[in-house]
Amino acid sequence: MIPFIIRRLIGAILVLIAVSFITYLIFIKIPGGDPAFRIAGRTATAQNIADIREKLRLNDPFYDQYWAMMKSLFSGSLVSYSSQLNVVDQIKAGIPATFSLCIGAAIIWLFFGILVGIIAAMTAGRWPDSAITTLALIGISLPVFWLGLIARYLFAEGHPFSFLPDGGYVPFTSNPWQWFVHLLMPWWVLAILFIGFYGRVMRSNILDTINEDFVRTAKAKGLPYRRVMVKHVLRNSLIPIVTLFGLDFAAVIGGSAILTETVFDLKGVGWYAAQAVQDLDLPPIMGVTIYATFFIVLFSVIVDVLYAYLDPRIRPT
Amino acid sequence: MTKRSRLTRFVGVLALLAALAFLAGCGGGGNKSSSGTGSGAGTNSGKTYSTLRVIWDAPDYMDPQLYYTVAAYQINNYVWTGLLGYKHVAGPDGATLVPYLAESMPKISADGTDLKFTLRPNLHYSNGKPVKASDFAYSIERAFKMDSPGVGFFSAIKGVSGASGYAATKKGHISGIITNDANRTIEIKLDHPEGDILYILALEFAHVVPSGTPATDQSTHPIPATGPYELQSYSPNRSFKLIRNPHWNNQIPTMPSGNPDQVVGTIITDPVAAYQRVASDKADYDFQPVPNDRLPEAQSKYKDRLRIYTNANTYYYALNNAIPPFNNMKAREAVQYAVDPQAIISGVYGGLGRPTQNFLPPGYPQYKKINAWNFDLAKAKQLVQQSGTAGATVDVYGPNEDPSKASTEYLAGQLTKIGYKPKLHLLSHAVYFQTIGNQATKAQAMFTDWYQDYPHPIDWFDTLLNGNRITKIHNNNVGNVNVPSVNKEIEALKKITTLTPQVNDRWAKVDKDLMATYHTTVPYMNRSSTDFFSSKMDMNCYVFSVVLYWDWGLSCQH
Amino acid sequence: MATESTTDFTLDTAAALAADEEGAIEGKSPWLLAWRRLRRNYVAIGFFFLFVAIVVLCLCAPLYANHVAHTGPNTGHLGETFTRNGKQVPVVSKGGFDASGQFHAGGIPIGPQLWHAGGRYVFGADDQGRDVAVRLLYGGLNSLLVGIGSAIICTLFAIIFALLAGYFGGKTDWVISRGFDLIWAFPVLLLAIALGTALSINGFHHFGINIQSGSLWIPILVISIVLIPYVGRPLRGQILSLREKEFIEAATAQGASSWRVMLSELLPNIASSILVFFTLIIATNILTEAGLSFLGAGVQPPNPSWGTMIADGQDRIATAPWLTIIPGIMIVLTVLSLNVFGDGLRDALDPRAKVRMDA
Repeated sequence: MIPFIIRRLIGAILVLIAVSFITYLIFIKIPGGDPAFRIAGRTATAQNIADIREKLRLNDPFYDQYWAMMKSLFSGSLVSYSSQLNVVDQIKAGIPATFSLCIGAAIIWLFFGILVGIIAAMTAGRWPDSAITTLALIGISLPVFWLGLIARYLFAEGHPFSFLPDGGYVPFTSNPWQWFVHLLMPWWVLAILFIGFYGRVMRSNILDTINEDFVRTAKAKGLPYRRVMVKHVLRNSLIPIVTLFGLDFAAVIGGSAILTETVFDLKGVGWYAAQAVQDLDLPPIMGVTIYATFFIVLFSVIVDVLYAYLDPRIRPT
Repeated sequence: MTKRSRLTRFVGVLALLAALAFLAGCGGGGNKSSSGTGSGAGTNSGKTYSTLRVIWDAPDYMDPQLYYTVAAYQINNYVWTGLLGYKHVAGPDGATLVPYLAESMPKISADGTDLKFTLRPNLHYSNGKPVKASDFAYSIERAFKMDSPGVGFFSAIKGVSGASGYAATKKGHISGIITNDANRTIEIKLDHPEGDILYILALEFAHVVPSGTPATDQSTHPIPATGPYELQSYSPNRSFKLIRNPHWNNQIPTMPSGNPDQVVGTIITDPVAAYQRVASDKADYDFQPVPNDRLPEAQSKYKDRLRIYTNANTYYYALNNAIPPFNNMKAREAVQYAVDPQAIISGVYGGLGRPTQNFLPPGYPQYKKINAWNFDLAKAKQLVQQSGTAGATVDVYGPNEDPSKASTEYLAGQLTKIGYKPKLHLLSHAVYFQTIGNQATKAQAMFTDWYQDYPHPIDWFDTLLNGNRITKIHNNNVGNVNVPSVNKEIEALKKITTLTPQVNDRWAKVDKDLMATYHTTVPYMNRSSTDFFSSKMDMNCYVFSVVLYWDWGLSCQH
Repeated sequence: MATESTTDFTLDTAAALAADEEGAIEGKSPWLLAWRRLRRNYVAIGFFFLFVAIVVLCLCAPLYANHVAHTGPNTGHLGETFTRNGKQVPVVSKGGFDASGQFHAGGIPIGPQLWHAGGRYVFGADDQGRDVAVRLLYGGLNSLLVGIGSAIICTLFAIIFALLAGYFGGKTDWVISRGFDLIWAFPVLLLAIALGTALSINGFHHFGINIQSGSLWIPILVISIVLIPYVGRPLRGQILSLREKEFIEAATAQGASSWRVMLSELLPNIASSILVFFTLIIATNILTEAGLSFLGAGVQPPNPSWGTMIADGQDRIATAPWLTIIPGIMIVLTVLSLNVFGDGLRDALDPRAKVRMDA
């Protein structure tokens, strides 16, 4: 087990490096913007621009620039092109909002997804199953940003309700109740997509497992219904969910909540990334990419290990 | 929802409206000293209250040698100050320069190249330390060391330009600034007379900071203040807080001491959310313009809490005069006839604007209203035919953000209607101006705008329409406007420091020649904006300064 | 016990039904069986026809534009008026300062006219005065083109890589799997946004390929690349397990070349998976395109797509909510019909629902 984990971690670091380098290439090689111009402003002199290029080492070969940027990122001194703000500080400032959004939504979607899946499986073929399946299908067909806009329109902007706040993030430390109220809409909007998906996966997992041989054996052995359901069926149905959840959660924390954060003006890491991309601001893009990839890779490893632990049949050779 | 009028803020620097101001006396070349009478509009002083909660847009910096957006400027003009500043009154008089840190207007030599200031006695920063004359020199040098976007304004100071000048070497000191701490004197020598030098000295880049302030962005480590307020904290993209400067002691009599005891700012870049906050009285002032979507509601439900103002800016479509088809004057004239300013104002800007055919905004003494064309598609088509350029492809450039995007799309639409084949290029604002400022782009029609840096026509015609200042890259004359006779006139007028009525007329003629006679550019609008308040604010104290915008120091509450 | 089998474990009944069916209909090809199962799923068939109807409607966009609405998708009508029930109505309400200096808010586009304006502005106008219905159809064309185009390319490459990796194993598998890992490690949306934005500035002019910045190829390629592992990994997994089966061994023993084995033996066996994945990935891609376009990294203005229309509409949601609501409903209907049909397809091809999308 240990060598497996170590191998995966080394692979993870390699992936991080590769990802950061590719991201860097995308922005250096493709668009035609000169950050020095942007920083210098419209009324700057040629001297300004030359100086800024020197300061940012824009005249160095691209691999030198890449290395310099990585060094300053990891030493916490990297500043963005468009505003000279410290990238790491800004990412740190965005983490509370992103974590609040993602963890809250994750709890909701995991709980309701599994619940809904169980109910659908238990009532397979009857109307609750059809109803749930229909709702789940609609749920996964909704564009999350559109849902967010409509939710704001209906519940926060007075058409007809306005009891919920219209976007924005209140830190937990400054006002816990407001923190909660501001996150209600974003949580549900982000979760609806996943509830539908997880519900369906859970349902089909349970239906599959029910038909597996070991369940029939347990039934034949005369084990109580409840015991069979929970210990054998549920546990086995949850294993694929674990994998799925690990990867989805990593993706969401890493910034896939960009759309939700943008629509609800939650200044989290995803929002910061979207701004940086629109501004073609390379340093924050690099910073957020590393941050996001780190989570994805970390959770990949965790999920693999957990999967192997939960299902002895899938231990790595 | 991602970005609002960030472009106009970012590009639009300080917007000053010199209404019918008589600027002649302040244009240098005189020894005018303004009597430091009381604190601005005296009627509003003394109406103090505890907290002003504002919803603000994200400033670029909170460091005086760096900030260049209205978001930073409007809040910070009470924090850091320079030798000169503006009068805190409503109306045209608000464009008058008065001494702030200087004890009086400078003594200017006859040839206009030497200015002598004396600092007021007993000036202190918010940390208690005294303000020294050498701090001024340090502040200007700091701007250069930081490659501030504002250093271009100081290029006329002796010892700055040239291969061995301070701008290039950043070593030693600027020889043209001579200070004496004991006598509190500051002497500034110029390479040549500059008609706008006093306005330049009132810019934020020349605000005084303590010597030794690090030459890196100090936005999050607030620099000690010289004004009635100091910046207590700033969390980028999130919040800021201003509190009273404990060492203010009314040290600048020409500045009000300010009514709110503190200003709590929340940065909300989404203009709808910002509007909602103020509409529901959760905050007192919305910095951002009320979104078009909410204007009808604001107008009907909150009429008395809403103020609309038009400041010194011009929105225009630049046409590339150097390459076909718009090197043909008739083709350019056709575009002028093809654009319906009122439609753009209604549809794209929600009605917040006034049509114009001038390059200068109204309110300048040099403004003489031009009425040379009207919206007439048939005539436009005819002109295109006559010019022989019909069917030409036109690369139309614009920023990729609303409302500028919509304005650009409108232009492309109109070009199609009069017989051209436009190809739309919408760019991120991060690269927009450097792209259209690059000759290699070969942009043929461009969206652009200009907000005045200070109330002087040099800031308009010389910077943007002087053929002698066309450059290959980083070109501000994006339309490559190059009319030799007008270039000559601009060069001549640049040297004149006293703005007599005859000089004003000559500037007005430059405007007319470029717009109406040679049809070089297509101006269409002076954009308006809004100030929106909560019900707590007493609108009797509302003072709009043509230079400082809403003067929050003079505000009061019920 | 009798009670147990009817009240508890009702799922047994469902499974038993399926098993019985299979047992009773012997001797028919699995495809025919699948077709017959699908035919009976009225809901899935219904939604399939809904999807087809949407596609056909969008294909009729030029007809609609020329003969019903008399305007193009990018033609603005700011400042113009149209006739409604005999009266002249401004397309976008007028605003500005009147003669006495009073300000009037304007800029509200006209709402859905349905049949009152003779075919014009059936769904109203947007803030530029463009006909929403016309843009909806042209936008649908673009969204569908990007969705289906990227699905085709993505699936194609996924199949190729999965076959190569699964069949050859060893180093090839290692390289391809690491490639999948790399793409998958990228924050998907961020990568798509980054690529989309970067490419939309100047286009792509390297390696002999020339793509203009406004071209639809950019979102198509971006979305395809980003989602290749999503399809490729499960397919590879299937091929890996198929490879061990006897019929492959038999084919190889007979002297069949690698290509022959891959194309004639492996490919047909994953065909049902491919079919299901393909349908579902069109749905995913349409949603992804909408998200990208919403952030400005997908279809570029002035070209409409359902995503860009929602982005344009969000600024007008208080005064012109139809601009946001209508394109969203189109997306939901299209994606939903694909999802329902895809589900039905999956159930028909493999009633035991072994084919799943989880990676």
